[in-house]
Amino acid sequence: MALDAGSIGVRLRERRVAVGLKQAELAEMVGISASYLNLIEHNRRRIAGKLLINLAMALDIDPATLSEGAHSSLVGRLKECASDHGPDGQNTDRAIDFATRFPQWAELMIVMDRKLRQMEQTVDVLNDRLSHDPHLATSLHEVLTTVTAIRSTSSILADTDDITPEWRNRFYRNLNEDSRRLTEGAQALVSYLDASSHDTVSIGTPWDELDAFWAAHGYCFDAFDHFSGDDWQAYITASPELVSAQAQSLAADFADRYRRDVARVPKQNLVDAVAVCGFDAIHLAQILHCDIPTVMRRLAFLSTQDSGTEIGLACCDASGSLIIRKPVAGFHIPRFGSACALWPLFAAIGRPMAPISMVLRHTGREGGTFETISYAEVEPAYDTTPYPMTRSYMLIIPYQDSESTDPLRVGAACRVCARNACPARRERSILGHQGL
Amino acid sequence: MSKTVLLIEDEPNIIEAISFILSRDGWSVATHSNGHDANDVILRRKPDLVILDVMLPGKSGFDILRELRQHPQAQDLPVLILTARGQTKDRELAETLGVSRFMTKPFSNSDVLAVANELVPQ
Repeated sequence: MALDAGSIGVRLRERRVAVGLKQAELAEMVGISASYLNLIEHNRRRIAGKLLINLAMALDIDPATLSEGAHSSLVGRLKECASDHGPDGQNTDRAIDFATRFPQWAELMIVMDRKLRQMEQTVDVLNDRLSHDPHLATSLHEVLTTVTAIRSTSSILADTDDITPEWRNRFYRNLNEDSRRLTEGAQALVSYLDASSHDTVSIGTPWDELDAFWAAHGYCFDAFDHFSGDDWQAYITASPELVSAQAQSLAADFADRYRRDVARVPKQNLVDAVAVCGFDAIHLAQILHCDIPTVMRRLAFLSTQDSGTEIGLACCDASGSLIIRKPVAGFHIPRFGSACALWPLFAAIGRPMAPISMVLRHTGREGGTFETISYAEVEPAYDTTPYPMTRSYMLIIPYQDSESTDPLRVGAACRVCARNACPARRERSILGHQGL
Repeated sequence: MSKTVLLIEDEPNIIEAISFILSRDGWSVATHSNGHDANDVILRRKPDLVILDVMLPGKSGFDILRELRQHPQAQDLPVLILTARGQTKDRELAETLGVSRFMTKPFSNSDVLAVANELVPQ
């Protein structure tokens, strides 16, 4: 058996020194010359078989420990650590020597490396968030700006001996204003971050509040189908997820549309139609005598118990900003920033009123295959605006027959997508993608 | 004749503080708070130095700087960017666009004064 001469010699020497034997003494004990033992200890001769067993017995050590090393896994981890940070292979090989001589230091280095990786991951996440979470970025800039004003003003007051009373009073007033602003800004920031760290859905923007409201109801509002406008308004006002006035206004708009959708397509009619033609939104719209987006919204906000499967929905305006994000397991819809440009949701904006049916495979770690129907509607204008309002919808349904088709591979967003050589890539992925 | 500086910043209390510091040092200070027409004001006033915020209403400081450097008479005009956007990519963008100095908020009064006097010596 050929042994790793690079490690066994070091281990042999370490053990011999530890038990207090000279090279000549050990050599005599196992019947070899001291110079031959010296070559072995300097990794210039390979050993195996009987000689290995004799040396192990003389050193009172298990032959396997001598041949494989008690630190083989340590060496492996150290090599892995060094391969990421070390400059070349030659230095990587010296990990064996290091791990054998200083196992505790090697362990410490591996622990530190692991922590470093975790911190790098955290930095990536925070960097991603700072780049793509406009609320957080704006809040931080606001706080920094206020801190700047306070620092500059207080410095003037402290350093200027001959300041006039008029200027002094003005700066005191400014300090008072800024300190109040700073307090409010810092409190808002802490609340935002605190909510983000504790909740799966963080409370931040009014849209976040609306998302939280939907999530709290499992995206199902069957129990409210009989609600009048006033009932909805009272419920919205009392909802703990809808804190800001703007979020309540968004929820009121949602409720208004939901009531109209229910009036057009009552739940039982929808369930009966689905039993006939499945989740084909185009066909459903035909037999229910309504438009396709109404069917999509009704399906998305139907309970899983009634639909028999999870149904996702994404909706964006003409700018591509997502305004409805109903997630479905295996198809991640990003909360911040822009979504994957390959989604047919966006292609539909360019060809309104023409449905696009497409099977998608999500590239995420837990990604699945989905049948999607995308459709953009142009809302009627009631004033003289030159730009009609466009809303594009994409209904996302788990695809059962995933083996029989060639789905389009899409992601959630470039920064968290592992797909290489993507024609639509806008920015580098934090998952190690090398492109762009 | 005193040196002139145009401070383009939308935060009133920072405007007052910087104006005070520079004025006491002998600078003649003019201020402007809107990004939209900032370049018109710069080209009309012809200051010795421009101190520019990035997050301005109407137009960002980066866009202002980009357009400013396209005017032959403003290519060498010293521009000091003072911003809360201190990420590396912001600094690199500013340098690409031709900023003279880039400082992040919060800054110290003495640093701002020192940089201003360095960019426009007596």
